[in-house]
Amino acid sequence: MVKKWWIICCVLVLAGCGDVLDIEDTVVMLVLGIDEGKEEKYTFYQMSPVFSIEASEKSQVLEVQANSVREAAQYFDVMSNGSVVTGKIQAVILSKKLLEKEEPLPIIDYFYRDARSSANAYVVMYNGPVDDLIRLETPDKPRFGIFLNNLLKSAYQNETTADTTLALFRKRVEQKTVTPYIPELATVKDGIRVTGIALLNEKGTYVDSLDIYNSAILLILTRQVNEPVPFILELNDAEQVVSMNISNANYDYTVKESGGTFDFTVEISMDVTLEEVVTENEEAKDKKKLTKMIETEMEKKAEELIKRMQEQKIDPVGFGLYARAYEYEKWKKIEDKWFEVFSQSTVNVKPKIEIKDFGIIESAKQ
Amino acid sequence: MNRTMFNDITLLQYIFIINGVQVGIGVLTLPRDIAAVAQTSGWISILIGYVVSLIGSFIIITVMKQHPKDTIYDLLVRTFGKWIGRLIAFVWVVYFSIGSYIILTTTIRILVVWVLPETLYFLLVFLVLFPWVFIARNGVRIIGRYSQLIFFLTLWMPLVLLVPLKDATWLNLLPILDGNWNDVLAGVKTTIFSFLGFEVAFILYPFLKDQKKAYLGIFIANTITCIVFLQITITCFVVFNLDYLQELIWPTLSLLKPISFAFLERFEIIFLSVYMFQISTTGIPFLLFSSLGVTQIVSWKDHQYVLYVLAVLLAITAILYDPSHDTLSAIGGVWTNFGFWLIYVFPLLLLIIVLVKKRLKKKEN
Repeated sequence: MVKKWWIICCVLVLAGCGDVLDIEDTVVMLVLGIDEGKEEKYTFYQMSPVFSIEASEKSQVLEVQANSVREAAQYFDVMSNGSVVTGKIQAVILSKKLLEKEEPLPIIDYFYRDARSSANAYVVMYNGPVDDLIRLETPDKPRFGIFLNNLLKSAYQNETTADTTLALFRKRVEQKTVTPYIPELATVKDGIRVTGIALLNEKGTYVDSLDIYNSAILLILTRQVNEPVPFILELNDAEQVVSMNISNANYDYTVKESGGTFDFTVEISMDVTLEEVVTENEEAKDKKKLTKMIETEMEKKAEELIKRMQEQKIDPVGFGLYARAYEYEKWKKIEDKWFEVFSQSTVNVKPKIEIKDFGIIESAKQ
Repeated sequence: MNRTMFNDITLLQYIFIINGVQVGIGVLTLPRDIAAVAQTSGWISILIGYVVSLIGSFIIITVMKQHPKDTIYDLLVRTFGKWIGRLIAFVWVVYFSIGSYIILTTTIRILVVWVLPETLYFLLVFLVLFPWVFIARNGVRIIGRYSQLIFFLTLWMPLVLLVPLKDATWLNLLPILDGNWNDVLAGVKTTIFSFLGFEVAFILYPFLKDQKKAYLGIFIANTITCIVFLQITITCFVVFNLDYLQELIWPTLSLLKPISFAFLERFEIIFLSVYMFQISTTGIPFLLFSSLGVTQIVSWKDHQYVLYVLAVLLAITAILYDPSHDTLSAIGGVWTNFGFWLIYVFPLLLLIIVLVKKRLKKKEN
């Protein structure tokens, strides 16, 4: 009796085998590009690796006009020699033109609704037509999808751009206290370059671009100093520079409500390691004076950046989070128009620097 | 009665059965349910819900202590007489059966959405139900051993839930108590329902070897449950935020989705597969206890045949009526409301009646 039951059980376990899908019969979507299209539609590009030995190319690009990812996937399906698998996606590329006009979240809703899709694909903005980027010949690089993923990962590790996966992107858009931001790409002569961070408004449409220096400051302000952040101090002119790495940042945010708006003071104490001292300037060789100079410069840069954000009514740093945490009653009243209120706020940044290390050579003294 | 002779359970087994019943499908949705009503201080609602459930548990044990050899079904017949007692016992049977139906269908629904979207529905019903019946037919002691085994086999899960904390924003927990107790109390209403499950003590008490420790046991079970709920809720609150959390249907699984390895893209499937065992420690006792109830009502000796009949009925219902996600949560809502009366209000009345009856009997003597 018992044996029979076991046999039935074992057979039941085979039920999952009905879902079998051979890898040769699939078209794995590694990169999806979305650009503005014709007649109220969007242009979708997909890149997938080709596993066949006979094919001379190692990857293929497909292009369709559609309204949504799901619809595009259906068209891709009837264009390729297998069924399209969307679950392995590595990167979603949105063009700048598209982001200027459209909210991206509804277009890529499919990736969030389907439990099988990966939450770790990067969302990036490309400064130009996606067509150029996705058809870019990169014979000296690995498969485009993998290459793009590695490029973004290392850019984030070097603290030059933000880390924006599908999951993080949606989280930032849905939050009432923060506006989203994503990495920005451009093509240059030798391939692709990460140019910094693209700032979006609370709906996800494009507002502003930061270069990698300002991106680093944004990363410092958003508490993302996991690896040393590069920072360059320019003296007098651009030829005389002191470059350094910033690490171990400690933050102290204070919020004060005054007359319907919030005032913030951000104290950041950081450790600095000098990497390069290219200057004749005597002051820069004095530790105390150099510290002061870095602090002033950083304060200026950070406050300029925040001003710039306030003018655009965006809050990628998430000052709203501090307002909500420390002044909840007052926050509740202006919750829905926070970004408006933030543009009226006064923000003081007070960096405190300690130069921990000059490297292994002494700054040249006279 | 020698029914409990070869079926007695140790204190640990008693703890783990109760804990197993409490920690089930609720954990996957709890953070979202709390966030929807209780705002940032939602986790305080869990603590209050914990205290309420402790009081409820102690009332149940106090009732059962009066007649230590009786399960709830015996006690009902003893207290209310043959017919009314059987009627109320039937209400309990209905409660347990609907419970096992809800757990079965929810399990399958989750499996369909997250793991096996294209597998035939009735196959999944059998896949889940077969092991349940296999374990349930062996009685209370085997269930105790099973729950204990599953508890230790799933001990690694809380550790995995620490991984998403690398993206945590601890400021999301502030302000603690925003001066608004109404939100917290609204949250308590949700959390009380998640703690339901300690009512199985009604059945387990006579099987417990060392009955003096029944209070201690149910206290520990509730405490473990509370810790599990707190960990998951706080993790979800700091990793997601209140705005985003309310969009996620199964936040606990969404929490694990970003974890991936070079050789394993979707870690949540592994987690979910093992979690199916944890869910079964709710479904199996419910299935057994409803069959024990029917056995009692029709006064048979062996519960196994009743169990088979119930399981077949369960399978047929689950296959014929495959509710959508919304309907399922609506049914679940009605069921837990029903459970609230049965588990918090009914034992209190029962306690009074049992005590009065005892007093009267003493006077007669």
